[in-house]
Amino acid sequence: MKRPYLFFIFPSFIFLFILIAYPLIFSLYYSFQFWNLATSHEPQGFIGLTNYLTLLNDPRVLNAIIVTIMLAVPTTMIELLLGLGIAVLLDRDFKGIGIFRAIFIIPTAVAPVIAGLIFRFMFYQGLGTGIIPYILHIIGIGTPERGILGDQQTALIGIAVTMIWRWTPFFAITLLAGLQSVPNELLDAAKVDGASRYQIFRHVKLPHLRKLIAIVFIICFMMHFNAYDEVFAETRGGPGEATTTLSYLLYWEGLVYYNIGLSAAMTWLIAILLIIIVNIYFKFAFKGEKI
Amino acid sequence: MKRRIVIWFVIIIMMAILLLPMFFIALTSFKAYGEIVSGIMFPSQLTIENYFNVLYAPGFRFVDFLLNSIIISSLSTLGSILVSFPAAYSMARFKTGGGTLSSYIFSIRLLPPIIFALPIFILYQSIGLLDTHIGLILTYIVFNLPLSILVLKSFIEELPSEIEEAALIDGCSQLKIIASIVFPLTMPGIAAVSILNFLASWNEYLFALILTFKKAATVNVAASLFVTAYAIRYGEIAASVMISMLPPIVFMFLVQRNLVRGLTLGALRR
Repeated sequence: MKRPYLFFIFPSFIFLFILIAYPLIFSLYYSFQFWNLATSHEPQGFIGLTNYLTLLNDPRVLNAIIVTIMLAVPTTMIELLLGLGIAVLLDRDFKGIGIFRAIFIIPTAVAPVIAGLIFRFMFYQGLGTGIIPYILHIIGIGTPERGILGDQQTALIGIAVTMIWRWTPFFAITLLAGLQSVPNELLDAAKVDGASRYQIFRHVKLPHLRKLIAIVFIICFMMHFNAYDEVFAETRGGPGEATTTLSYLLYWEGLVYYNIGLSAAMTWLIAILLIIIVNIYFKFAFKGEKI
Repeated sequence: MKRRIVIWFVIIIMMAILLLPMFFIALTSFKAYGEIVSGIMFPSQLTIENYFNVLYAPGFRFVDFLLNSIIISSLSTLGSILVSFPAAYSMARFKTGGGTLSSYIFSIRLLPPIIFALPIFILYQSIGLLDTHIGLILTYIVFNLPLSILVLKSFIEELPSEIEEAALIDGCSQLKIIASIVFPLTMPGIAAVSILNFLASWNEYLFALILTFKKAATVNVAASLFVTAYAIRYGEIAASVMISMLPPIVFMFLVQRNLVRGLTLGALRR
């Protein structure tokens, strides 16, 4: 073999090309066409930028962008803080703490859609009340008449709670592993210099975790930005459009209404939005370092 | 000592919050229908009637869906290892693509899966892969590839390359070096990646929902359809949720030692 590396990378290349690059090219091409699969099996003509202009003037798109960001940003922040707290809490050598670490990781194995179904149950209000309204009523907090997921004001919070439950352990476990990978020489040196527990955390462990936090944060942020499963399981985008995220809106346009042209254009709008967000993030979080 | 008690207290509260959803859904799945609709939180007696109804529901082949999940998750895990390992080796040893290729592969993982859904749906429709096991397996192989390549690459990079060089000088062929030296040494990495791929495939929902209808539907799709098909039978929905949730949890418990590094895309080195 003259160029073995080409031979090795070829299978991956084929797979990624067919199922990743092809859909993107497909979307780019059809974003300039009018095509509704429900009325025609062939594209119904070139219409230039009309699809993009329709989307930019559509209040639903702006609403979906706001909902998506309102969901993804605070949720990921809360998860990071809680996860870091739990990691610090579990980063010590008690007897039996291994069992707690093992239990903490459980939600990470639960499918997002299943988490959504469970929480939909827990939020349920009415016949056979769910446990969350039950507990809230016991401690004297009222819930909206249509239930937490049925109210415009609180539905998004309900979904955020589901995600926080599902993803905080992911932060906790990865950050815990990061905390435990701090070289002992560094910790010993800090102790010899008389640093307090807090000072060691703040000036030795936290800087060591910086890159790991940056990576885990962006992975989680994107998971939430792309949120679909929980929305589908819990609210189907409602009530009204209170929980219609970009992913859910795209699902609706493409796979329910079969508006191929319009959803192809939306694909590229989302991709461009993401490229901007991720680039800004990488500039600040990594300052040009390699991943 | 006082400090230690406070810490334990906080840990136990956290644990309670964390396990509450599991506890609630398990409790509901063992409750009789009458007690669920009358809003009784803690039932007077437990029943397995709901599980029985889910597994033997007429016209709803839940057991088949469970088998589908097992087949699709296992084969897609195997497939993504077979495809990603050579690529990871190539990137680690020949520096194929330099650092740029890694960033591109990382960024694929950040794109929303939904943007690939419609084109893949239309593609599958035209080549007859809709509602087939192989169709879903191929999709999952691709979506598992980025993580597999990055994690395996970071594992291979840590292996000392002297062994391979010595073998090369002794006249070993490139393929033999990979098969008998690199592959066995990368086993811990392959284990970690397999676990993650299996969990990701088992837990995937969007493509399972879109690309399958009856024949190849996975257990998560079945559980979520139970909600609409049997809108009022809470006990049965809870039981179906329990059945689809337990295998990945048990699996994770068995193998979690290898897990963490994969979760961070290999960013965390031991």
